[in-house]
Amino acid sequence: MNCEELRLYLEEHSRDKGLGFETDVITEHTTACADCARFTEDQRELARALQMVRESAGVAPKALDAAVLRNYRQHVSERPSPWMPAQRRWLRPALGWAWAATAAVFLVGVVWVLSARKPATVNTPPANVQPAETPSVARFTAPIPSKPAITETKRRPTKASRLATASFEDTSRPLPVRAARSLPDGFRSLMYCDALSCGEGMDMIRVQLPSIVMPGQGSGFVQTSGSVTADVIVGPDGVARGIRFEEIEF
Amino acid sequence: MENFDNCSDAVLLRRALAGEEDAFLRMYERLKGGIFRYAFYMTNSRMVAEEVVQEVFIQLLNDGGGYREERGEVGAFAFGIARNFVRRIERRERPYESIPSDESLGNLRGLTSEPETLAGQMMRNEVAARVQAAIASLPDHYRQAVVLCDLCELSYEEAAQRLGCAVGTVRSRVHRAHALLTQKLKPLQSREPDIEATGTEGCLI
Repeated sequence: MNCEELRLYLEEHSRDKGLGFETDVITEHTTACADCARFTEDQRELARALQMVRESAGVAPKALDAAVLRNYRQHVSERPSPWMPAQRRWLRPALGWAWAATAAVFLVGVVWVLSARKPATVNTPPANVQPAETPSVARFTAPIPSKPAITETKRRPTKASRLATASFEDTSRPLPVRAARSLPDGFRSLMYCDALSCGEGMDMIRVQLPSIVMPGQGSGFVQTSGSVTADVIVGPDGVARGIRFEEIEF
Repeated sequence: MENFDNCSDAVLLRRALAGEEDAFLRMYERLKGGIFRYAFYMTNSRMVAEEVVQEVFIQLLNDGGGYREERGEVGAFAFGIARNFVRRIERRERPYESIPSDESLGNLRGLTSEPETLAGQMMRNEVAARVQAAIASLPDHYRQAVVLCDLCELSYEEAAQRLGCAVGTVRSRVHRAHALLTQKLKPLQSREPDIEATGTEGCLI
């Protein structure tokens, strides 16, 4: 056994063997090595000191046992009656399910309301300057077509302008005088438009739309690709005011 | 009284929480010694150790429902509670406590060896108090390792489980703590009375 092995041995086994340091191997080595003899002596003294401390703790007093038992009895007597935890066990998941059901109903309601609004009927305000006139109403009933491909853009189309490019049924009605007067020739009014609202800052954009926006209309507008080209006039507020479909020349 | 010898601590705790006093008493008998010694060695005060034991069992009754057997033994659970209480008490008492300096430890040089007399007993108590003071002056992680392994006589594995660290970490801390203690206690070594080794007792288990 060399010095390192002796120290490792003592560190590992001093706790297990208590004060039993006097094994033959250790004695043989420590008689020849002063450092290890000193180290062994230190370890022995430390073990003695720790042994003293261990003995000093003694045992817990009886009064402590009585106090703990009193605490236990008090705890048992003060705890809720047996049916209460059972009720709580039933109530907690029930409340959880109730909350979940309420949230689900709310979500379904929100989805239903939103889906009901999707094929919305957009009514433009009537031309109420002259109540007797037929209001310039463009009713959009068809689903909104896919996003139109803008071929020539002066201004990025807004949502309202995209809505305005949808097909409309009422194309044969005469336009209100004031509205027709405020739009350039060949354009169909998409909503109320007068000199004030359409007076300035109007942009025109050219868009390509699927042919579905013109149900029952002449095939002279539909291109071989199945789309129609239209010019849309967009007001300064971003709302489409009028549309003109481009006729294809054969 | 029902014989609970074959019941695990977890079963005892569950039955104690259900109101079985005998189960509680059996669990208390198993755990109290270890908790009391740990608290005593850590605080050097029997009164504080008793307070800790009471608090640990009150806490076990209040929070025992949250104990999960797969996470560890009840002894480790109780030890965790005890350790938290000891730390809280140390924080509370620290401003008023003075840790003895190495010089005061050096004053033990004059101790003589009279093992079996009353004076010898007092001297042994004093030496034990000084050694405890030396342990108390160790850094906390060394002190925890020494208290659990050397004083509570837990194995390295058990101490590692209690402290939540690796066995090798506990072993190296114990060795380092021994070296520090040897330095601190050198002046009084070789003057202490010879004592016989006593049997080992489990501390927390």
